[in-house]
Amino acid sequence: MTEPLVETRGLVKRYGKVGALAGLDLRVGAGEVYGFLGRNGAGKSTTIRVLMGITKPDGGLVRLFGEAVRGTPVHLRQRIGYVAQEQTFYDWMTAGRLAKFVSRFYPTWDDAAFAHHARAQAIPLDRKVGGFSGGMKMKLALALALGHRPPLLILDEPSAGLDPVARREFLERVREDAERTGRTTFFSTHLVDEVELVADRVGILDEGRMRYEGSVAELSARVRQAVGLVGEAPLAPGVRRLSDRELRGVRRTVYEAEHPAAFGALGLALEPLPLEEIFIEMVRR
Amino acid sequence: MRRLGGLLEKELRHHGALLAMLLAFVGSIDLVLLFGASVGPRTITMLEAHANFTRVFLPLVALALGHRLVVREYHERTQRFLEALPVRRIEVLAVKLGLGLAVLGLVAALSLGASALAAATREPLTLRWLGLVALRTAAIVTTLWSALFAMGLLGRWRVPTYLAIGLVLVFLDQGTAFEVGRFGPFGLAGERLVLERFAVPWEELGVSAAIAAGALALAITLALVDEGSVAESLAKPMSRRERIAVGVVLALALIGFEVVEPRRDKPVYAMVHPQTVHRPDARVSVQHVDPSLRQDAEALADAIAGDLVRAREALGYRAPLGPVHVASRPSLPAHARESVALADRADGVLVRAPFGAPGFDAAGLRAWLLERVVDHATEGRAAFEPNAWVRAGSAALLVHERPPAPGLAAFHRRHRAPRYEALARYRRTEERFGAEVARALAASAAFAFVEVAGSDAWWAFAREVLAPPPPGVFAMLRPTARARFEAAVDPAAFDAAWERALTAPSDVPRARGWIAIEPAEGRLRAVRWGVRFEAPPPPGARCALAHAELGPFDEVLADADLAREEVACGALGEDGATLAGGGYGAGDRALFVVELATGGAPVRLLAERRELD
Repeated sequence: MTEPLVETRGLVKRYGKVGALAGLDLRVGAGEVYGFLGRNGAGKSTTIRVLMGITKPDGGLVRLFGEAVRGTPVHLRQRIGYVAQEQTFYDWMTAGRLAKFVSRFYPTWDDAAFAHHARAQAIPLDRKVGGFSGGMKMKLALALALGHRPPLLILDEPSAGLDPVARREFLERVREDAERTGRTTFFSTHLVDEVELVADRVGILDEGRMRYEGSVAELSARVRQAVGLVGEAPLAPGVRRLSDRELRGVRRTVYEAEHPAAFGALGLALEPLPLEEIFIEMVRR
Repeated sequence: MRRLGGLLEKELRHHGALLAMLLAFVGSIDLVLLFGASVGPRTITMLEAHANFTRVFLPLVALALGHRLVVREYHERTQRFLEALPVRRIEVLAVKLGLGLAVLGLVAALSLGASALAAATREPLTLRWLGLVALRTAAIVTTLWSALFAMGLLGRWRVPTYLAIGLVLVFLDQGTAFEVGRFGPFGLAGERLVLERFAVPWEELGVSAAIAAGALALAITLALVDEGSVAESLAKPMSRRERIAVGVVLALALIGFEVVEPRRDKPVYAMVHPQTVHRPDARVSVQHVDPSLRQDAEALADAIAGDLVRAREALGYRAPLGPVHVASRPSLPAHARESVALADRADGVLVRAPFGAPGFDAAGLRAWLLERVVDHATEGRAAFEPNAWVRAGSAALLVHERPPAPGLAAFHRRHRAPRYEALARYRRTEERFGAEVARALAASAAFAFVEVAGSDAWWAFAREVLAPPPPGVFAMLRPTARARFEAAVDPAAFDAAWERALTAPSDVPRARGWIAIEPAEGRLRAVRWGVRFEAPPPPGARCALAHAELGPFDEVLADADLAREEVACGALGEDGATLAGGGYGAGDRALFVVELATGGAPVRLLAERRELD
């Protein structure tokens, strides 16, 4: 992996008695498209709010652009494009006015870049934002986030609330932008197919800790299932059983290995699982 | 700076139209206030327009600003959008705080500037005086905006907080020795706001600065603590359960407040002059100054003390009446009394009267004093117009054995049939015929009532009408004086008895007052007035024109508010007299009263509110 652009070590954040992050380790390399996968309430948004400096961590280390930070300073936030989960724009502003307003906060703002992204997504710049649909607001948020040509783009569940077509178009645009510009892109989601579609690397967050971090291909290789197993098969070193349950009369046993090669010692006929199944097995209680 | 500029531009674009409307609105209000100050009969300085604006409209402007700049941002959750931008929360806060302060300051400065310009044409302004007004205004603006800015961040709890603060202030003011009106910003905005020309109010400024600092600390804490999540969660709409809880708490607080009825222990005014007769048990002091008046003072003190005891028993008051302080003022006309406001809101009634002077009507003074004392005991309820005649009638019954001044009551009968309306509309009867005529009429009615229904029935009736105020929220449930009257006495029998009482011949000469408004130079108008007597006026009779310019509101004017031009009636002639230096012009509204005095208190032959063509 290249030098990490985003890195957290042992990140802790609590809201009163509720622990949102319980020692999160995270590394996002420069130029990567990183899918941050987790159930609702796993701590994805909290992680992003910490990275954006909107909220401060209670413990642990955050490193952005190689700089250790506590409460991301303004000059680093100016290098991040951010698309929030929920768009709370000023309804009375037109899209064009909103862009003008946002441009005041970014020294690297590029009107042409914004215009390009707005045009590409057919955003009506002269219309008031209050009349925009949810999908159009999300597109506008993306155009605003890219308008200052940030080296890092952070998206917090950007496709939540979008219809399937809009979701697909949005993700393709993110992917296309990342490929074209080499921009580091960090996006959170609880939808596995989005990760498969867009991400180079994936991090699975569970109860405030990183459950898995690596490539999608490696993740597929590390989790396998045995179908129709009879009796109790002994575990091999480096392999653990994730689940063992019967579904419609067929027993399915899911194993996770530290390295795919470790499965060989089990001596079982193992099948790969769809990524969504892997995610469910990893985070299911 | 670029970021702050962006935030400021956003605020101005968002609220610019409202700010412009606000400025136009306050400008018009200021003009109305300036007009009011220019025509107000009691205006001391034109800067009073600024004082009124500061007390009434500046808080309203601050409330509107707080709502637009702070409450809406959080209520619409657009602060989340700002938080996602590379800008510090404190910067967002600072821009809103600064903009609100600037707008409020501008509004206050415009008000002060307009008042000062108007004042400069009529009165000598000094830089120090203006500087003091500006300093007080700046402190008020800062404290007000800081407080309302912090309140705005309380979100859904701000209105309950306003109410709670209001209740606490009322409780402190009425229930304790703490005087809210002299405290910090309230003291700055008080009557000295535009009347103090020399002293810097350091103490009030200090307190105001402390309040502003506290409010700002609260605002910053609310906005920044827990990354703004406190302010964000406070901005959420109130749940049904919360609304019910607030309503219940508020209702309980109001009921509790009304039931407990906190009463301030006011300092009792004391007459310290050595030539003073004290009746401490009865709470009466009579200061005579002239040693030769000692006996008169003692007699008066004893009589008043007896009146207070009888009135308390008759009206069923629990607390002793008074205290009453009478000071001798020989220079006053024999029938005149001067009511004096006590400093520092001290307890009691203080009056100046010419006791010991020839023709002095001691019984009249005692009855008049009883009216003031009953007003005091009922916190002004007895002076409420429909109740006022009962108060005057009760005082007459307590002091006099038979109806006083029957001639004055008969004078009223000469012009109006005896109807209950003349009693119920007591203030208008006073304005038209004079205070002593109204008092005599009320006394005649009270004696007629006693004649028909008996003394016990009157005092039962008076006790109900003149009872101390019940808890405010229940006051409206009490029957009216008229309903009680009709239940206590047979109206037909009363009318007959009253009619009989008014048949006594009046000693007021038969005469008619008149006024004529005539064109004078330019827009000025001359006021000619006179009296037409049916028979030659008695020797020594004095005729007078009393007059006062009326403000935009039809308020009742006290006798002392009227200017007087008095002449011997015999010197008036057919053409009457022209008011010298009246200064009335076309479009003015004024009250004109033609009075006739033949020894006793003057009666009014004519009283008219007129708009001059």
